Amino acid sequence: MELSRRNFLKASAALAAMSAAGVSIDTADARVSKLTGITWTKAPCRFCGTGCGVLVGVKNGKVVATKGDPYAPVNRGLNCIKGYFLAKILYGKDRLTKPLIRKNGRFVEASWDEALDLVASKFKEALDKYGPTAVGMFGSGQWTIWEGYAASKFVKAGMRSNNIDPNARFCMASAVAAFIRTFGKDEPMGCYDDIEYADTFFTWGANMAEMHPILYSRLTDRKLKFKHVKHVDLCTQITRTSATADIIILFKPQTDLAIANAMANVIIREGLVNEEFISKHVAFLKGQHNLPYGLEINGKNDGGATFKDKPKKVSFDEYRRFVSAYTPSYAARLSGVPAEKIVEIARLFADPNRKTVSFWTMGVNQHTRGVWMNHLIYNLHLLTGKISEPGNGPFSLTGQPSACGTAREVGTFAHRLPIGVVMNPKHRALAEKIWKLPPGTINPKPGYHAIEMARAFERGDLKCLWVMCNNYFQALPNVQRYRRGAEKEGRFLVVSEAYPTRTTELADVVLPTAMWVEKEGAYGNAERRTQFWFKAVDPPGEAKSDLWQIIEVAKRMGYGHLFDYDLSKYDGKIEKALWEEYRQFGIGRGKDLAPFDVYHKVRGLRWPVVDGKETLWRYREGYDPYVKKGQEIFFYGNKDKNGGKANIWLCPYEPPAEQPDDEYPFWLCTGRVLEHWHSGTMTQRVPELHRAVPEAFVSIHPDDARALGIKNGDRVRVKTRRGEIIVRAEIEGRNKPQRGLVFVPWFDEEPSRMANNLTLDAYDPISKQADFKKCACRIEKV
Amino acid sequence: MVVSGLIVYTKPESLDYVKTKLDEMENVEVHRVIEDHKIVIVIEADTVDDEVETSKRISEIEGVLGVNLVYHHFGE
Repeated sequence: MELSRRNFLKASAALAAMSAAGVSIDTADARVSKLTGITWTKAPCRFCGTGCGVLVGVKNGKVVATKGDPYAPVNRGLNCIKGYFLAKILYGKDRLTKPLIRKNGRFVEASWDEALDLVASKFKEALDKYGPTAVGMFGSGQWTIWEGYAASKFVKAGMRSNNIDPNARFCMASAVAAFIRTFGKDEPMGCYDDIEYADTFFTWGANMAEMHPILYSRLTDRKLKFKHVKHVDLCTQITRTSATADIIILFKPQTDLAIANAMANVIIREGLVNEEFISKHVAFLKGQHNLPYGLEINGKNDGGATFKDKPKKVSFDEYRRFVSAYTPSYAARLSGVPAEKIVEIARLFADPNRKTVSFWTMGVNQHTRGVWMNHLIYNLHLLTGKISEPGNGPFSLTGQPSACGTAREVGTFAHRLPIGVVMNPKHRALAEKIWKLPPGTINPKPGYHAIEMARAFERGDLKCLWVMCNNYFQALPNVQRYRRGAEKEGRFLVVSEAYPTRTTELADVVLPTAMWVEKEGAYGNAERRTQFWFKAVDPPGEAKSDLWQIIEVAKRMGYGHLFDYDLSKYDGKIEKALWEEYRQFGIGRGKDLAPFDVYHKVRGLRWPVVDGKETLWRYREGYDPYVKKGQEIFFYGNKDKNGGKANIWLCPYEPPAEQPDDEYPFWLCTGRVLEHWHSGTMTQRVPELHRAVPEAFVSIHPDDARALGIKNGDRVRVKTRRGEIIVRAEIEGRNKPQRGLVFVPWFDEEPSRMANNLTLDAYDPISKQADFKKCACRIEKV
Repeated sequence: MVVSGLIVYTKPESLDYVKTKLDEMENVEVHRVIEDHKIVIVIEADTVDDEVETSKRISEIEGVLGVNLVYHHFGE
């Protein structure tokens, strides 16, 4: 029996892989299922924002197998190697299974009632005494859609505060701000199908091969099957993604701003502009320049915290004059990239006979001028009209499974509502109507955004903070400052988590949380695809979903009416009731979502979903139901502002908040590695993964290492003005930094190796997103 | 016992080299080559640890562009 079962398993593994590789075969799955007694259910992957479909195999109440879902259009049966850990993350030995309350400095197990009563009474007390600015929530792009929706309703309609922000602020706030400023609506117009139509790929500050491996495998497939396809990788270090690049543009940090402007200059100078597109569909705007950095100088913010742009309309001529200063040779001097290379990639980008897709992630977004950098990429696509059609488009990738679906679409930000912003009376009125609130309930003043939230907690203006589904006190830049702030007297910190983290250790109350397929859920991926899953197994011990926790605290604070639905109308499911209420926001407003039951039957749908049909390319006639016959292109997000045009913005090069000098001569860039996901809360739990990459390291250019007498594996101190870490040197490893730049991954939670001890808490004043990619450091052998 | 089915993506010019390297690995079975840049393999190991180690070693072979997991059974 054992032998035949083993052979069946191996045959099944081989057949599944062959099928995913494109070989048409009749798989032996049915026979294997019968033999092994495994039942399968579908779910999107728990990790990144790609949104791969996974089939989850359950036996005796436990997840025992996973496979790439062959019917999932995103990944067509493939998973990346993080798929090895999907099931194992549920079964780490130190899962939190009981509520914990800190008593006399140590955690004591408590009942749910005791813990929830304590949380509710503390929040209520702070609210009564200090008002709605004294309470807040820091949430996540890993929340399911209804968890984020319930949290937003709890904070904005219940506590009448706007102090709710997600960790997505660290991840893609710059992309959001630029999408809205350019198109009047967030999220990419295109979709992953663009990959199979593109002739040229530009990757900007993105290591897709390690961070979005499945999309990278689709890119690889396209490039290897069609020999004319080209890939340009713009980066500050050579990564695995550079392996398929025909042209590698290794630039000095921050000079991407100059390179993109110089490309626009070449495109205009050489007559490669799509004049018809520009005249019909594009407007030009100039915002304020010489922006602040969100830094505190002698305890006072430099203006970044409350910065609000005041754009002026300008002409194409003015834009042309503006970019004419960015000659290829000027950009070359700043960036270190040869001028002829800049000309070459500009011509390639604009080639009217080729379709061009840009992909970017944290290198562009985690940038003190991140909104500008996003604009500069859109500018290139708009100048050439390469947008909103198969194979042509700018596409910002996301790092969390529901950064789009939850954080961005539900709007779990300090200034947002499910449609629009709290500052706009019409948007507040819409939310008040759908939420059945008396007019004037929603607070018009935006709350604290991610970094200012930590600063307010440090100052004591924020008294009670509930962190849910993320590792705030490891993820913050300049983290030691904010950890000390959280430890001060009079702060009350609640953390909902599945595992002990650097954040739970600071908490007053820890609430054990159900993960992934331990609850029914929904995520929205980077291509506007909304995907649902059913609960497959019970959570361990007394762990409960974030949704349940939010509603229980809300009830205890007197906001039970916000979640009081007649569940007999919703198959007894609060999730369905919340979904059906939530989707009212989007219907007819460009964010139409389908009814609840539809998503359980399909492999996701890309919104807007109108008349049961999903939308692959927005803003173009024939693809987008919001664009009428004869309109060709209609950027309807800007309908009321400029008649439906997209905006090209004049964005200059400005220096970073901190640059290398004599004392701190190196650039420090932080980021991720394939084996670990974000702060490692889930992936470090898996002993296998932990052993594969056990600790943070510092990648150094071999010439820099030689000059400092550092050899591969040596212990090295990395020091900045904020703090230091001691890690091993990696020379000629996977990441190959340029000279003068070192790279440290941030997953490691060991306090002496936490990358964010080093990083600078400067941020983009428009998006309020921090720059984890640039600060000055020095390195020395220990 | 742990079994997984994977697809290894290679540069076309490195395909033969990668295949030879895979053939030399003890717990790896090469099943098929597809479209001159994909190799279907099965890894069998005692623990997930060994599987991850193996897939990591494969990803470090010169010419490998990606290692994608399709099927993963880690037993009860």
